[in-house]
Amino acid sequence: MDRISALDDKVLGRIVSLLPLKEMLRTSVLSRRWRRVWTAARAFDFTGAEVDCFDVDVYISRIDSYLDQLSASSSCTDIHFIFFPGIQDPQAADRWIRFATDHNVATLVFDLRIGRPVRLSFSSFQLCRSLTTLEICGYIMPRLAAYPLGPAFPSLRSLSLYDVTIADPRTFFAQCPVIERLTVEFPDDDRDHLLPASALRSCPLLSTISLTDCTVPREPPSAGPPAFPSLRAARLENVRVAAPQSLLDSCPVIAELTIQSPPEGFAFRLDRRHTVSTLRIIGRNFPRLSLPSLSPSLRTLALCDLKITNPPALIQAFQGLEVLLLKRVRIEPGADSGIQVRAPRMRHLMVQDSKGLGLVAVTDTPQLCRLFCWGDIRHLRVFRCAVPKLEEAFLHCMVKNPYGGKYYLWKNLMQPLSHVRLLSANWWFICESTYAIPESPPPVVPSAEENVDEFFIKMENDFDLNQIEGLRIVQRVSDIGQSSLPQLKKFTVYQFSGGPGDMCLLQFVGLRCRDLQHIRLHCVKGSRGATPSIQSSVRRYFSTCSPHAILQFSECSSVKTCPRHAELLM
Amino acid sequence: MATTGASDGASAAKKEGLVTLMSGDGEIFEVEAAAVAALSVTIRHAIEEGFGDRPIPLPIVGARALALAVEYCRKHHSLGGGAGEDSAAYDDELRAFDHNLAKVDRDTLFDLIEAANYLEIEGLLNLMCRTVAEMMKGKSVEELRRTFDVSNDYTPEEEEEVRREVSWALD
Repeated sequence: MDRISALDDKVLGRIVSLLPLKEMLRTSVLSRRWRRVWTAARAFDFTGAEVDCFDVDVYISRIDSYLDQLSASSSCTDIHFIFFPGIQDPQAADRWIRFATDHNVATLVFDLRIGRPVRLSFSSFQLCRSLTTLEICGYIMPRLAAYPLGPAFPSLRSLSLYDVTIADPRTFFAQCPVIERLTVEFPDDDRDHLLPASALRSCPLLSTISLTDCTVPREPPSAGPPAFPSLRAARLENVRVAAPQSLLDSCPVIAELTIQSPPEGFAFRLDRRHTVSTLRIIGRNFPRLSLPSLSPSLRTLALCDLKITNPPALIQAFQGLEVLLLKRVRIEPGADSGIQVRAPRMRHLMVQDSKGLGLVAVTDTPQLCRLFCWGDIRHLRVFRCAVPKLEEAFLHCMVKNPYGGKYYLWKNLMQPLSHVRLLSANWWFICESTYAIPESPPPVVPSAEENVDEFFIKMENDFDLNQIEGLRIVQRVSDIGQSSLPQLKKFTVYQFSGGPGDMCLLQFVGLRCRDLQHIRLHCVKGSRGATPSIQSSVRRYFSTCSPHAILQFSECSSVKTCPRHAELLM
Repeated sequence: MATTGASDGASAAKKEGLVTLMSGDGEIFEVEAAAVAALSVTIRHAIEEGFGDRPIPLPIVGARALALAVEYCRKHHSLGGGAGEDSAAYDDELRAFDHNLAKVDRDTLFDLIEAANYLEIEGLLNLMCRTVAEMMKGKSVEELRRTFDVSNDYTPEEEEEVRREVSWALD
């Protein structure tokens, strides 16, 4: 027998589990050996059965027939994961859920994205002893009576409900006594969905909660233990909280709080009692926000799309912060005055698209090790000796030709950073500051006394390039200086497309960097850079000029941001 | 891994922390017990059962596959298991290692799957299964048969019937 058919059913089950439903079923035509191999799969995504099928009944019966075959097959024992497409036929939904419970499914996803929501029957869930993860989208959870057999979901750890209406939250959550992660997105309609905090008192292990589009009403204070004794992280999106302070007080160990699109007038304080160490506030359409007074235990603060009305509170928060992220943040009044960053413990500072902050002056951050700036680089200023421990600088200027040939400005920015280990920058920004020209206007060549290469050379042994603006062709590569980059060890280009500009860049690097150890090119899928002919010519080139370097190609999509950007933005 | 104390005799110190494996074709491997036991359930159980100084026989695992599997354990144990290091850099190195390992030739690939299955090395088995699945993806029945040399032993009538059953999945 051939090698693959000789593998045992369990292993083949693992392999076919990784194929889309169609291709999984297709294997049954291969040979007799493969007739029932697919029934050994451990994960099924039945949404694939909908493809090219506009008649709901056809794909319901399709799925039914596969479930029958699975039930009849001896190689089908425990299924780990099932994803069902949502259907409006409650009987079929019921059948499928029962199938899942019969096969000890651990993760079940039931997804009704379109159409009228359907009421699910819960009798079928009753024996779901094995279910640990449940995700339901677009159904109505009926009012539940207490089951004589104990809770409906005795093992459920993770529950996600999207666009789901819960008729009676109190009795519903009483069915999930050991739940740890809860996500509830209520339907985004005009109704006011109430979720009283006391409904979750029956879930003492809850450690992560995420709520969207609902109201947490005011409740009479209760004498019992806090409602959320284990809650570590909470995310509230467009959630109206009648009494935020008392809600916060009922979470004694909460460490992470994320508030998205806070409704008008959402106010709370964080004081010494509170254990929140990470706070994220993400606005929508720049709401004016008066920053709450923050506790000294706060270590991470992320603010996005906001207009801060009390800048002094922000500046004050810097004292204890280790990580600060400001993304599209404005301050008022006095935006033109900018902010000064004096933060004794700060390790990461990330500022993105925050022109509205005015000048961000990093004046005293003895612990800063990572600086990230994305947007108009001219609004960043780093003071001399302000960042003695800086290891990585990520500078991505979104303005073309930011210094217009005034190289002392670039020098002012870069000199305090010249000791970094890793510099990431965008390519044409570099072009401008070395020799080549990103713009069509006359070439700007720095004069000899400005000798930008001098400090440029000093800083890197690691270099990431990120090109979102498309490259202009770098001309006259052979003229690009006689100096080399002796310390450069690692060179990475994101979104390498194999265009002439990219090729010139590589030639430039090959000429000037004699001690390269790693060259990594992330080729844009389908571009010229992903073709074998370009790759082999790049290989040939580096094998002569940097014979000891390791050259790696990997594929990336043409998304605009580089992976490092995503990574830095948490 | 490292020997614990100088108080033991020299020969015991040399042996300490090592375990001997014997491949199906009789080759002997001396490897760090901690690394393989952390990743291979089968070897962990064998050590717990006390094979002691005797080599652990691994009848269906060939020498070449065993060498690769041991290398995998070693790498993942030292890189993945070492806490406190800059994880991003280590992830990169592990990824590159896995990526290279997945590039073995067809025969070695199946040897490795069988070895990982027998030794119960979850990560390696997953990696190799993913590799095979990638090779299968997007192929028609005929292409699959060609790629993996699967000979069709259906009678034309049988094949017709199976094809009818999954007709919607064949185009």
